[in-house]
Amino acid sequence: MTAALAAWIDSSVRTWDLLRQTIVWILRGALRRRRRQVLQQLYEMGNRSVAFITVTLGILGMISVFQVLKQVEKIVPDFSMIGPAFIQMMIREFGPTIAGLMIATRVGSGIAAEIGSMVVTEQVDALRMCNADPVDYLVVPRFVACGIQSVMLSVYGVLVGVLAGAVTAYLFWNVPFETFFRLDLVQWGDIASGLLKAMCYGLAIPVISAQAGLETRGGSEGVGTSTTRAVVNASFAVVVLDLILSGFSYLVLF
Amino acid sequence: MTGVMARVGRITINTLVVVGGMTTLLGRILRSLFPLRCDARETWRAFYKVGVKSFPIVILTALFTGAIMVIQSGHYVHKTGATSLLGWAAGFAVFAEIGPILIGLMFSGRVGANNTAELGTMVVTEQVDALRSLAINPTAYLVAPRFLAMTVMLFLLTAMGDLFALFGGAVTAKFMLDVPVWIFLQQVMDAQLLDEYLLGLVKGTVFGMSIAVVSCYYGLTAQGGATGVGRAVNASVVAAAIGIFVTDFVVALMWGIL
Amino acid sequence: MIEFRNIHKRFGEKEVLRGVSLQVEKGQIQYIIGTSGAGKSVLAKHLVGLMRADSGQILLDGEDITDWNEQAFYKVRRRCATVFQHSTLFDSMTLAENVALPLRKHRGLSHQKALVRAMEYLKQVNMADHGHRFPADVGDGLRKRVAIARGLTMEPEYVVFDEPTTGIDPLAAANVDQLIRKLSDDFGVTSIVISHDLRSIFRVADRIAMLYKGRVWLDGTPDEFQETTDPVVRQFISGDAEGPMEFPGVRG
Repeated sequence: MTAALAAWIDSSVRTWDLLRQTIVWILRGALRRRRRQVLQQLYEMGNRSVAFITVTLGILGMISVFQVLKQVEKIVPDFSMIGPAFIQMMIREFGPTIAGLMIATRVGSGIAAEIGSMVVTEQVDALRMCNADPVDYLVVPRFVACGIQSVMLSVYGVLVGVLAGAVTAYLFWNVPFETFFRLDLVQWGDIASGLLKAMCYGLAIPVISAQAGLETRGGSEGVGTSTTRAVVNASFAVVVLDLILSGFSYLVLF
Repeated sequence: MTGVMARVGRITINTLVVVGGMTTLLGRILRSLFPLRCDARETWRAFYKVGVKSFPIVILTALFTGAIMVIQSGHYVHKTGATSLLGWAAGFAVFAEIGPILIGLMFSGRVGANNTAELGTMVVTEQVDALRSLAINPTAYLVAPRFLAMTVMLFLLTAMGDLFALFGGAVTAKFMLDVPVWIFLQQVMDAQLLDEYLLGLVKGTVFGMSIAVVSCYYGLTAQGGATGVGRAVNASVVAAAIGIFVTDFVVALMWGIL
Repeated sequence: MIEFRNIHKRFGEKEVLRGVSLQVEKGQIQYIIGTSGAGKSVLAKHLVGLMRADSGQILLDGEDITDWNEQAFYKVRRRCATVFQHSTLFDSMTLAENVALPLRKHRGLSHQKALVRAMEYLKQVNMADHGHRFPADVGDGLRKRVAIARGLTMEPEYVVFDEPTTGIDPLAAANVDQLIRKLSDDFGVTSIVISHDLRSIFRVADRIAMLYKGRVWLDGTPDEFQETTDPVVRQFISGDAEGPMEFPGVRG
């Protein structure tokens, strides 16, 4: 038990260190040098995740509205507030967080699998031999790209989810689109909170996953283990960050 | 234009192949379960491993989920002053939707990915071929025990997790919204959310089955050494997440109709 | 008796087996030799249904097993054991548990009883002292012996050995050769041994078949191989880098 705890603490310390190293490299101008890799990662993380986000957040939007309307219909058949409330929740919470979890799943495991394979095939060592720092070369582009794409995908996810919800409300309960698409309840605080969450998730996920990838030991079993660890730790980090940021924005607003 | 159509066509065919493969696997699993033919020792081992691995992180996630839901509901409560609806809103969200989904996603990461990694490594190192050469059915020996363990475990974890989420919510209600714990819990009880709780359990069970089939499928079809295993895990968790949402939709729809 | 009739097998562009025909009499030790990528392992895997031929027939004791499904092949695999090239033991179990597994599943023994029986098989391969250890902790040669023990638990009539002496030290190799010989002499087991280890080939084989360019290039006794004037066979046996042999490149 204590051995596992010690290993966990050790890993966490090294993850924070990786974050520090990444930021230091960026401040030293790594972005200008790594522009091509950043663009490559932007495409890999963004464009290639669009279908995934569409399906997951679309379905989430549909089910949420479906279940809420079913419940509300029993209590008070006034559907006018459902749209605005739903939109606000999506912007503030579900859009960024579910998108964040999906990114942790897809991008997180992808980064760990990629870097892990490179460790196992000694490509990372080869980088070091060529005096190229793995953090500069591998982590920085992914860090920047994921931070950006997390925000973009969250915004996209909110749009998809809201649209899906509106269609559901219209199809099953004849709620007109004008009634649904009202931004009455949305405040700047909600938008800021959502964007901040998305960005934090987007910065945490690549660092955690890259650390898991770099710590890979052993052959195929090792790569499997670190990929798993990346998904778990990145997803959990999203949940923890969600709690902290939700609490923070609540306290700030009230 | 033809480029786009070709891509869509290819994606469709790939998806159908994968879905077809998973359906076949599910069929083989069910044949190993009715009548019960799976290896007893492996099944116990699977239950133990799945349970021990997933329990801590799922429970923590559940606690935090409850807390988050209370905070989010708290926004409305604060605005409308309707503190009496807090228990209902948080409870409803947790039981019917957010609880099962978040618990399911965490489980998929912790257990599903690990499962794919294990089976993938075995395939790539020819251990599955070795089983077949010993005339031992890999489905009955490897896959069916994991399917059983994962389905039952996720059911139990959802059942317990929902309650832990309530606990997390109650504590948060006290500290952030000044709603005493027992009042919060009372509200939840009054809201009569048994229906939603049961819905959540059904979802959890179905999630468990889909995560099991998906993770075993990608593990068994892994190829290409270490890189292949990594890729299999990646594909597995993505497919499992999609599976969770799709089955969520199907269950919610059917529940709504019945 | 095992019979391969005109087996064809291709992987994508590459045709590995182009009409292989071979007969293996009961009780014999048949060696299949050839360069890497010649298709030796591929052919052997066809016998136990781990690969399926594109065309041709496989007969086991007169029965055509070519088109049998996976379920049916379980019957074949109980009579024909396979010892893989890399031993392929199960990482998650001890050596003894590895050997005990088929005993548990096929003889219906309890875990404890199976372990006891497993020790007997381990004794036959001189591994009884290491039963409690894990595959990752022992060397290749020892793992090979345990893999053989595991295959023998089903008391098979046929055993396929895929490169049993490749990558292990000469003493261990001699032990394996001795074991293969003992199985044939004492128990009447028919062995198909895939190898390119010349020393073992001439020490143990009853008959040798050489695969080259997807076909059986020469099929005969060890003496016939020693005395042949065929340049390709001569080159292989003398281990000469120079000669008429073409190497098929990367294995498909």
